[in-house]
Amino acid sequence: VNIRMIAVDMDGTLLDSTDQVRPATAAAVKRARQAGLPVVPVTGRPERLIWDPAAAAGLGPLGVGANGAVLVDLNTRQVLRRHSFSGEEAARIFDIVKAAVPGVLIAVDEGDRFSHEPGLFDQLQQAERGGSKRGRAEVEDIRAVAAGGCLKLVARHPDYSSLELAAVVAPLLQDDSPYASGSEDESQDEPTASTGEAQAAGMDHDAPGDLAEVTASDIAWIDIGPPGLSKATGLIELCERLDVHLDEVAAVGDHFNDLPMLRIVGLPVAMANAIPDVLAIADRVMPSNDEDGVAALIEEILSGR
Amino acid sequence: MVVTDLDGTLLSDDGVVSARTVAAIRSARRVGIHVVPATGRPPKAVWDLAAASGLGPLGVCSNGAALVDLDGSTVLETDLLPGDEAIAAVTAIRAALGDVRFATDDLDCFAHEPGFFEALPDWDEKLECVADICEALGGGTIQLHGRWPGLSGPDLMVKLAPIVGDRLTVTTSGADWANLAPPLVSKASRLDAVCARLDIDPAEVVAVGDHHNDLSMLAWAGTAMAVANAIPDVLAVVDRTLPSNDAHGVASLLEELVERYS
Repeated sequence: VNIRMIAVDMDGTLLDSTDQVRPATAAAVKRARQAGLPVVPVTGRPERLIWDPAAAAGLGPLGVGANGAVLVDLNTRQVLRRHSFSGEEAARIFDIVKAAVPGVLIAVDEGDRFSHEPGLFDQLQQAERGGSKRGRAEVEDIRAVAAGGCLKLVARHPDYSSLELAAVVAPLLQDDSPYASGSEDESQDEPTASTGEAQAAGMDHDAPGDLAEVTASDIAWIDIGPPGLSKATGLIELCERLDVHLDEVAAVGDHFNDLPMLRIVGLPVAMANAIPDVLAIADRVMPSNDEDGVAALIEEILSGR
Repeated sequence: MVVTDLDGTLLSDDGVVSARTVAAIRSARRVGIHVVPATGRPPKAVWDLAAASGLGPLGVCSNGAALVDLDGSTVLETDLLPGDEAIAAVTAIRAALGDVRFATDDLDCFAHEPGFFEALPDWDEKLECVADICEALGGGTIQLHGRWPGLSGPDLMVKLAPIVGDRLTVTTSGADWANLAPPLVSKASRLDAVCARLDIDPAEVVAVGDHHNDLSMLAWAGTAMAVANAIPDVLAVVDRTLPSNDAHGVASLLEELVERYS
C-alpha cells in the first residue's frame, strides 16, 4: 500500500535527547511536505508545547496532542477538537488518587495552562517537557483548579518511577475498582450470576466503564486523561479530516503511549531507542532520535513511492 | 474471534463507529483476533462501514442469508428464499392479518411497498418503491420484511410466527419491522460457515448482541455477551454485560482482549 501520511511521536522520536529538532530531520520533513506527504505530530504534549517544535520541524497540516485529547491545526495554531474531563470527573479522580497514594503530587493541565501543587518540580530537577515555563503556575488548592474541568491530570510521586506509579494508580480508576464503581457495599451487591466460559476466562464483571486512561511515558510523571482516548483515537480523527485511510499511514514512536497508534496503522515503525514492547510490534526499526531516525524513515518512504 | 452485531451494538445510537471502536477493531485484528460482523443489514449496507472500521475478514449479512468477504467486498454464499415461496408467504400473511406492508432485499436493491417506511431512510443501498411486493419477488429474496404500522417488530414477530410456521424463520432486530428468512437460516447458521472457513471452533468465539435476531448466535457462541442497552431476553442469556453501545461496550471488550493477547 502507498504511504500517504507519516505520524510522528515527538519526545524520544522527532526530538533528539536534548529536545531539539535536528537539522537533517527538519530537512527531510520539508522534502516530504513538498512531495505532498503530511507529516503530523501525534504526541502526549498539550497544545502549548506543540506549536514551537512543530513549527521548527515543519510539521503539518494537523496534529494530535495530549494523547488523543486534542486535534490541532498547526497553520493557525488553533484547537479543532478537545476531549476534556468535566469538573466533577476531575475532582473525583483527584480525590481517589490523593486518598489511595499518600505523598502523591498532582498537577492540572488545561491545555493552555499547567497548574501544579507546590513541590511537583522540586525534586524533579527538570522543567516540564519542552522547557517552557510559560503558562505554568504553582497553586495551593489544586483540587479547586481540577473542579473547573481539564484536559488531563498529572501525578508524580518522589519515591516512584512513572511506570511504578502507573501500576498503582491505573487500577484505582478502572471499571472494576471499588473506587470507580461506587462504595464497597455496592460492589458487593453486584450480581454474581455470570457463569460459563467468560468467567473461566476472567471476564466475569459487568463494566460501567473506566473513569480515566492512565499513561506513562519516559518522564517522571503519569498522565491521567479521559477514558477511551489514545494516540490511536486522535490519529483516527485526524485521518478523517485529511481523508487518509489508516492503511496508508506510517507511524513512528518509541514508548508505551505510542503502542495504540502503532497497532492501527499500515506501517508501524519503531526508533532504535524504543522500549522492547514498541520494537516488538514494529514492522521497521529506524536509527535512534539522536541519529535522525525520522529522517531515515521519510527518505525510505519517499524513495519507495 | 469476536462476532458483533452492528446496529445497537457496535454502532452508536447515531449510527457511527466511534474512533475508539475503530482503534479497538484494528488493534484486535493486528494481534490475530478476527472481528466479524453479524448483522441484519444486506451486504451493500456493510461494505463502506467495514472498510472504514477494519472489520473482517468475513461477515454475516441479512440475518444469516449471506456470507461475505469484507476484504474483497464480495458475496461468498447466499440462501435465497425462492420467489414462489416468498409470494405464498406474503399471500398467507395478508389473508391472516390484512394490512401488512412488505419489503424485500435482493443483492442489488431494497424494494418496498408504499407505507413500509414512515420516512425514507438514508441508506447506502438503492431503494425502490413497488405497488405490490410480489412484483419484486419473482427472482427470490435474501430477506423479506414485514411491517404493520403501529406495531413494534417484536409484536409483529409474535403474530407472524404461527402464520408462517416452519416454512420461514421470523426474527426482529430493533427496527419496527419483522424479518422473514428461509427455514433454519439465522446468524448462527451462517457463523458455522465462517468458523469452517477460518478453522475456528465456536467455543473460541465471543458473540455480542442486543436484540432478538442475536439470540441464535448468543446460544451458539462459546461466550455470549450483551451491550447494556440490550433487550431483557438478550440480557437474560449472556455470560457478561458490557457497557452500552454509546459507551463503547464492544471496544472495551476488544481492548481487553488486545491487552491479553499482545
